Amino acid sequence: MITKIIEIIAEIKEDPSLVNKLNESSDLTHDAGMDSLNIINFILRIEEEFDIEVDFDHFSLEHLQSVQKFSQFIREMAASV
Amino acid sequence: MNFALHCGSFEAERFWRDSRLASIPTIQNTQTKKITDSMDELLFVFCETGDLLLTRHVMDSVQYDYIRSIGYDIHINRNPWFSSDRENEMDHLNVFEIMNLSDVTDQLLSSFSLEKTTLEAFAVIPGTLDFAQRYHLTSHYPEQDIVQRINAKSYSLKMRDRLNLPNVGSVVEGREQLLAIANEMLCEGAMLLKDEFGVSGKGNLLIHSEKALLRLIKHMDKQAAQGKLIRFVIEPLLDRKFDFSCQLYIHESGDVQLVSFQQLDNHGYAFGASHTMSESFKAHLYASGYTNQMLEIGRLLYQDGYFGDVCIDSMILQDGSIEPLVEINDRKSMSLIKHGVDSLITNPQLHSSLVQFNLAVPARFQYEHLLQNLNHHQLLYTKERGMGILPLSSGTLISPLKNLELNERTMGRFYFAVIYESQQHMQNLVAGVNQSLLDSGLNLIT
Repeated sequence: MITKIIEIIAEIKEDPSLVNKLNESSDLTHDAGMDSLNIINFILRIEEEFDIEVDFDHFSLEHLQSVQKFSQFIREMAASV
Repeated sequence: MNFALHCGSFEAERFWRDSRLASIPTIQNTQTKKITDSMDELLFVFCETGDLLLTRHVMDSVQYDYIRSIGYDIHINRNPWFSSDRENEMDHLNVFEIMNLSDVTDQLLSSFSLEKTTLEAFAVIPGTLDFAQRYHLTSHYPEQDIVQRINAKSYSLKMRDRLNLPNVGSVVEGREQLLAIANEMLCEGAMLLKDEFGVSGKGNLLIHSEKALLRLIKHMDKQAAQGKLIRFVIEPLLDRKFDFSCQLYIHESGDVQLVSFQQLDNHGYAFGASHTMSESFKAHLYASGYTNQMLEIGRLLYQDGYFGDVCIDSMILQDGSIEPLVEINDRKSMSLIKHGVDSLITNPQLHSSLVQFNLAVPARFQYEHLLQNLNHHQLLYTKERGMGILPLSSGTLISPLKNLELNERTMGRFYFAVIYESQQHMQNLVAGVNQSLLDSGLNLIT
């Protein structure tokens, strides 16, 4: 899942080099440089990929502090469906 | 003595937005809001000697000393409007609303003779006209409802019709209309959904597929169930080559003045940098009839009751054609700030750019070190050097968020002007800034 998330970040940022630069501890805003619009598009893409639905109104930026934390968030979302 | 009082809150659109409208998905980010709240420091570029600049947060004394050293002999507010324990209470208010509530405002302004003082606001937002009235300031502004109406994206769309410009966008109201028109547009390619009062790319959503559209509709349905109104502007995605903007000033008499043109280097749909436009491109704008269209927009805005600053966003498409009207912003703008920086340049051989860098800022960061580092490497703009890096704000780098863990990073933004003599010189200066930022512990977020 970590690899897939990083691939999607690189796709949203239109920067293939991120696939090699990012790892599970990378911060999605500070290290991947995702702005607010990138984050929305990223989450919409993640929804498609993992068949989940994120509640934007209650989404916390803490989930973006690392790829690892975000993958944990997806797992929890998927489990609650 | 006559002087001007400069003040304003950026992203004015969030104060104009009708709360009954449904919104595209957004993620609340307190760090970027703190940055936006500190952008009012950039307004010093409009100040003349003796003017007063009032900012939401107190400007760092190092930055204040710096701007005075380069010729901005101005006054600023030196005490917070409220104690830090009331920060949360103030969070949703703009700077005028805050000053209208604060006792500090009376104390501060009592030391100035305001009889002939003119208010120079970034935009007319709630509280602006009350503030002017309360302190008997001269203000040349129309009523807020006029300003608000003109800033709506649907107004820009109607303006294209009034100018007989080809109009590919539509206003959609309600779920069914959104679904039908968006689906039709998607058959031809990607489309852009625009919030009526979106700003800096936050109110736009690019939709590539029917699947994404249906997900968006689901998001809208949820809001509609809570009584929100679905109303957006939708447009096919234009094949953009680059953005540029035109600044106008509409006098109270109705005279429309072309103030400047700036070439933009946007990040997606948000501001990235603005540059001096080449003389040849300016000549092309005049020859193509673009400038006449801008003056006509100014006349129509005046007819609709507006006067004051205007920034019109325009675009050059990949085929070289001009898209003259993307949107109208009836307020001051980043491009006008860039124009303000230009007023410092007396040597016609010099050029300027206004740049922003997003940065990860360590808790221990000290702004003074950055200025010292820039100066040590002969990069800092000074009166004597007449060129170099001119830092425009400190508050956007120094987070007012307190009680951070010492190893925690916050996000900051560095706004600076580059005053240079050649492209090579500019590249060297920007490379130097990058190094100085690294030396000061700041990492660029790309």
